[in-house]
Amino acid sequence: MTVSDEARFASLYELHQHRVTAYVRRRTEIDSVDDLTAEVFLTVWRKIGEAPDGDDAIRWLYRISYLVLTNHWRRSGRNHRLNRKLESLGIETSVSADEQVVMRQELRDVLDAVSRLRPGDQEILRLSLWEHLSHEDIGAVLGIEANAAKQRLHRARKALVREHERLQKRTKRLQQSPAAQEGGEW
Amino acid sequence: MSKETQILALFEEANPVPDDQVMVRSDAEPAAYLATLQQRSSDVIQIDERAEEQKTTRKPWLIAATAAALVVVAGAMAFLLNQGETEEAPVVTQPSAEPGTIEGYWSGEEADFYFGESEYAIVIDGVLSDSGTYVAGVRDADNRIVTITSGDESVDCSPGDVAVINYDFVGGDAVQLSGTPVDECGLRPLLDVETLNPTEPFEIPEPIDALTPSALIGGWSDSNSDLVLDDTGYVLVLSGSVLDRGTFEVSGNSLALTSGPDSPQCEPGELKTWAVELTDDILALTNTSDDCGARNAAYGGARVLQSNPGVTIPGADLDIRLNGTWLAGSLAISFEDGEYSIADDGENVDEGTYTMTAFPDQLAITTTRGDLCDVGNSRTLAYQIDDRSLTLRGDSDECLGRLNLLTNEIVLVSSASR
Repeated sequence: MTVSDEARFASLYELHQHRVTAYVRRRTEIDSVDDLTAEVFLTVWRKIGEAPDGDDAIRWLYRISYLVLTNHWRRSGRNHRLNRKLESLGIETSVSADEQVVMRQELRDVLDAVSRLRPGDQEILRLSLWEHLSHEDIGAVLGIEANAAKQRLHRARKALVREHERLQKRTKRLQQSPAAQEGGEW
Repeated sequence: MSKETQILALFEEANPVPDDQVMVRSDAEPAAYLATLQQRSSDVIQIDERAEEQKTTRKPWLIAATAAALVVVAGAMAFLLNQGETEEAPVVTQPSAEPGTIEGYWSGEEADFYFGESEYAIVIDGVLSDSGTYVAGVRDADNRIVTITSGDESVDCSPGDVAVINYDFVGGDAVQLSGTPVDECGLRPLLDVETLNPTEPFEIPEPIDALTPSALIGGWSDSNSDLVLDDTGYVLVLSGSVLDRGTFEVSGNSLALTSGPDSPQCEPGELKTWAVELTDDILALTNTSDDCGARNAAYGGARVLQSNPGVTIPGADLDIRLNGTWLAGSLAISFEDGEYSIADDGENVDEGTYTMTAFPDQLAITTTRGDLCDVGNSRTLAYQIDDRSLTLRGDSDECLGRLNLLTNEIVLVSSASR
């Protein structure tokens, strides 16, 4: 690590740390945000020699953030399934960033529908609608061509609409079911 | 506002950290933060080294003992979880029993299913959607459940995705699926309302990667038909004549063709969908639906086309649409039966013959007489015929006078529309 590397790191951190933190914050529970953001910048520090200049820098940071989050999700996959099991038993688990903000039922419904999509589809929707990235930038983050990103975004949008409609139908059916009115799907 | 737009707007609104909050700067100094990271990294390296050391000194019996302990812990956790569940919890209590078994091949409205001894496959429109392993069982006398877990070859789901499906036998041999209380893969078909009937064994298709439109761009042919897909749309040719043309979309492993206003045999908007399997330079198409009778009669079954980069599609049907006189200011160009004439201010300045192809969309003109060009001077133009207009584009011309007259791009309107 040279002085110029440290200066480069400082520059990246000052310019983009808020975006990286927001990216992480939008995708995980609040308790993990600091640790995961640190993991991102730790990786940045280790790979500072590979850091690109200009507009590519933020893409590179998003890419690293995405990979760090992917590892985190993989690690926590088993915990997540256990949490879902506990939630199905009425036991509260840690509250995600999404859940803290959502106030309206219709927003909850959409987040619920998104959570049922494939992880890759969820991420591409967030990159488009929360990070407001272009197809080119999304492609850079996910490591795919811009055209492929465009196509996958299209599919994810359609899948979201389909899943949302499916959940709405299910909710309606459950509301009409006497058993469900007593508090359970089963 | 469409349903899709509304849902996407809601998702955008659900952003837990809106952009105006993103721009809040951190107070942490980069140097201090870097020092913290360096310390963290040093700690991590030490932990990694200790873990590596443990790994190299670990004895085989310890691995076996650890595995056994994990099994015991997993069993205990499962027991504890089951203790906490209500009596309606989705627990498989015994193997699938009479009056039937879910093993076999099933056909539903949304999808076809295969359940083997322990493996399953879900096929939608002839394309593998999901596959993996399953466990079927009964919860009580009236309720059966099957738990499916996606495997590595699943196309629409991620490996390890679990779904629990309620089902029961109805009306003899049929199976009624009645809800998926657990579904970690949102892309599974609508299993909630599916009725499955036993069907003949079918071949489980190999998993194929999702297609991109760019993978299909180009010419594809078999003995009597050609399919050309480019950035502007598609052209379908049967026995040398254009059958249909319009726009296309690729979604998943499905290719959807929508006939355009200039389709010779189909009405505008008529849709055709194909399940597509692309292997190297072979494009296998299986018809799934078609609104257009003529097209369905020709392409109702399955087709295997081979890549044909050099394909040209005759412009016979276009010839008819080109026939007539096209105007731009003082300029008039007439086409009829393979011959053209260009008039400026009512005076014929160039006459000759022309040929055209539908793909590539080219019009080639060659002078046979006139004052403007020498006999034999030719020019190849890209053309576009819309409802009432003709656009010609071309950068070069053996006849300079004609290039000046028509320029690099000229838009003419049909005299019939005036």
